[in-house]
Amino acid sequence: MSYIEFHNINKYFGENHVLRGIDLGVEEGELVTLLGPSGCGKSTLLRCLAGLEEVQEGSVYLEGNEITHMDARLRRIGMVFQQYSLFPNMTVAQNLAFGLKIQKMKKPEIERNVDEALALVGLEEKKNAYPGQLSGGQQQRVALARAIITKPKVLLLDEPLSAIDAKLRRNLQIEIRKIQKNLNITTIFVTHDQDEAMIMSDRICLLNEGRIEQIGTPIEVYTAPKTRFAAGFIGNYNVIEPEEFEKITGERRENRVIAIRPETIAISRQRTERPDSYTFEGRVVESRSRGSVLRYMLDVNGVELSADTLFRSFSIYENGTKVWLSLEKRNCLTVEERAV
Amino acid sequence: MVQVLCLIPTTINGIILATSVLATYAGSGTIFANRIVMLALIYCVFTLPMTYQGIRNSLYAVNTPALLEAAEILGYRKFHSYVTVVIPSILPGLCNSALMCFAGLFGDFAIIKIIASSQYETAQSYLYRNRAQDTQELSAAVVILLLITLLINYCVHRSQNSKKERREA
Repeated sequence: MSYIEFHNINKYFGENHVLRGIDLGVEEGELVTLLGPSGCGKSTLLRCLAGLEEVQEGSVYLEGNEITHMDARLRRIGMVFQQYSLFPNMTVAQNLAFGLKIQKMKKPEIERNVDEALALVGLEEKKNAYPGQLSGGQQQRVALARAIITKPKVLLLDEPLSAIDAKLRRNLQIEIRKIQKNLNITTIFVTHDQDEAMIMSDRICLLNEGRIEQIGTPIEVYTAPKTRFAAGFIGNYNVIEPEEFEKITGERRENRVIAIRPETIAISRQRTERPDSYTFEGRVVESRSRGSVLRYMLDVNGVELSADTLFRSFSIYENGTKVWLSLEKRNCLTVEERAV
Repeated sequence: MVQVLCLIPTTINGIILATSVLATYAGSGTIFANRIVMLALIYCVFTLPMTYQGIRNSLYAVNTPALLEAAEILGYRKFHSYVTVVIPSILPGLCNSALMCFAGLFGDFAIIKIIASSQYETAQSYLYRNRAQDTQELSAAVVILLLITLLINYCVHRSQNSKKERREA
C-alpha cells in the first residue's frame, strides 16, 4: 500500500461532479504535483486529503489508516495556502509557535523549534515582524515554515507561488524542493503551471474535468502524452487530426490523433532526407521569440504547424519563406481522445 | 438573511422605536419596565446596523474562512480558533465600530428624551431646557460635548492610521 492512497474519490458541489472516481497513490518522501487547468478539481482533491472538504464517495488512506472522515485537526497534515493565511495579529515567531502550543510543548523547546524553522527558510531577522510588514515571498516562506514546524506526515501546497513574480517564483521553487528533499517529507503540490510541475515533481498527476488524464514522471508526461488533452496541456504539442497528418506526410495513421512536439521538427532551406523520417515542404507564416527559442508558425498544405528552434541569428527565416521540414517518425505520437 | 435583519433598524425612526417600546413595556412589571434597561435595549437595536457592518467588514478584511482553515490544520478547534485568531484580528475594527456607535449615541436626543428625560437629565436635555438662556455654562457644555465627539473621532482616526503604518513599515 502507498503512503497516501485515494480510492475511487467522488466529490459533488451540488449538481457539479467535481471529482470523478479518482484513484491515486503517493509514496513516502515523494513530491507529486496535481497539475491541470482551473476548475479541474486539483485543489478540491488536496482539500479532501486535508479534511477541509467532505468526501461523498470513496476513501482516503494515510500510512495504511483510513482518514476519510477524520477531523482535519487530527490528521497531522501541514498545508500552505494560496493566500498564505498567516495570522495578522501575530508576529512571525508567534505564527510559527501557534501549531506547537496545541501540542503542549514547553516554551524553550517551542523557541528552539521556531529558530530552527526560521533558519531553514532564511528569515531569522524577521522573527518579530508582522505579516503585513513582509513581502509576498517572505510571507510564503513563513507559511512554509509554519506548515513544516509541526513535523507533519504530509505537506500540502495549494498553488503557493501563484501570486509571486516570475523571478522570485523560480527561486522559491528551488528552495521548496530543497527543503522537501532535506526533510524527506511526502508532499503534494497543486499548480496550473506546467513549467513549475516539471521543475519540482517526482511525478505529475494531470487532471482534467475531475478525472486523471495521466500520471508519470515529468519526462514521461512530457515526451509521451497519452491523451489529446495531455498533449494540448503539456508542452506545446501540435495536435493533428488523421486527415491533416495525411495531408502533411502522405501517410494515414490508424485514424487516431497525432501529437508532435515543436522542437522535434527540423527546419532547413534545403531538402535533407533522413532515415525513418518524413520530409515535407512548408511556408513560414510567422515567427515568435520566446527567450532563447524561436517559434515558427508554418503552413504545410493548409495545415498549421509550430516548430521550435534555438534562437541563432544565422537561422532566422523571414515570413513567407519556403522551407523544408524533417520529422522523425518515432516523434509522431498517437494519443487517445479521452483517458481510459 | 442576517444582513437584512440587522439592517431593518435603519428603516425605523428613533421616535417611533422609543414610543413603541415605551407603550409596550412601561408598567409591564418586568425588568424591561426599568427606564435604563429600556434605553439600553433600544440603543442596542439602534446601533445594530453600524455594529453589524463594522463586524462584517472586519471579518471580510481578514478573510476569516481562510484563517479558520489554517488554524484547524494546525490542530485547533473552531471555537479556539475564533478566540485566538479571528477576534484579535478584528479587534481594531470592533473598537472602531464601538467608538462610532458611541459617537452616534452621544448626540442622540429624541430617544433619550422620550424614554428617560422625566427621570434623568442628560447633557442634550440640559442644553435644550436652557437654550433660551445665554450663559457661560451653556457655552462651556456645548464646547465640551463637541470636544468629546472630536476626541472620539480622533481616536478612531489614529487607530486606523496606526494599523496602516504598521502594515506599510
